[in-house]
Amino acid sequence: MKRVAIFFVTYVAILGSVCMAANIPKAVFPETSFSFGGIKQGQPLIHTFSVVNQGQAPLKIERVRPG
Amino acid sequence: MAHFDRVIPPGGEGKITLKVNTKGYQGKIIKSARVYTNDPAKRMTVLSISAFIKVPIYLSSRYVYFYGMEGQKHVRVVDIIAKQNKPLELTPEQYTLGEKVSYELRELEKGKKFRVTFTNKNTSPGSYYGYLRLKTNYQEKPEITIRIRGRILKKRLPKKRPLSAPKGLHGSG
Repeated sequence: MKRVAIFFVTYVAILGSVCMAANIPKAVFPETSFSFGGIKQGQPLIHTFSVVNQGQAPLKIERVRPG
Repeated sequence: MAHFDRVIPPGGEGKITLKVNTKGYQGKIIKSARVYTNDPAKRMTVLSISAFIKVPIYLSSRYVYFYGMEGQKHVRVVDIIAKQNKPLELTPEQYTLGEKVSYELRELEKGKKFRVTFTNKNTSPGSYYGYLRLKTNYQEKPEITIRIRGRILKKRLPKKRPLSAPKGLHGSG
């Protein structure tokens, strides 16, 4: 009986953590830096980074602060 | 400057575009941006872009700043280096601080390296601002402007304290 109780509690704990993990977003950046090499002065530097949401909930980009 | 997708669905891909204006920059630059998301495992990610900004004429500094107390003489040096194979020629075109700061333009390496030495003439307190404009023979950079700023502070004289005899030296009569 005791064994069954321990099994049940463990099962519920694992199930709970899996459910919680399933409802969170996960941001994955394939690249975080980019080098343009040599560029003429005055030419703008424009680069697009991608971010993949590997989670189970919508990923929100709250803000981007240039530094 | 940055543009980005606000919400990315599960399994989806979003874009973050960074833009940097290189006007006025020279040499290596690194610009970064901090991206804040609702991912509880990683709230913030730093993205960076780097480049080497090539200029036809390199200036060791575009600004000269004189700061000090009155009566002090200051010297500031700006080196100008040609970054193209063509020999560089520089001709003074306009100078607005003749009374306050003197300058000397010397050619260190023929057609390649020049040095401008600025010396403050007027060491009286006050602020001033001006520039030296040089004409070049490079089509890509027909003129160079070096901006000069000065702030000379008034010397403070130490306050005179009244003399008082040390304790114990007072005569008793």
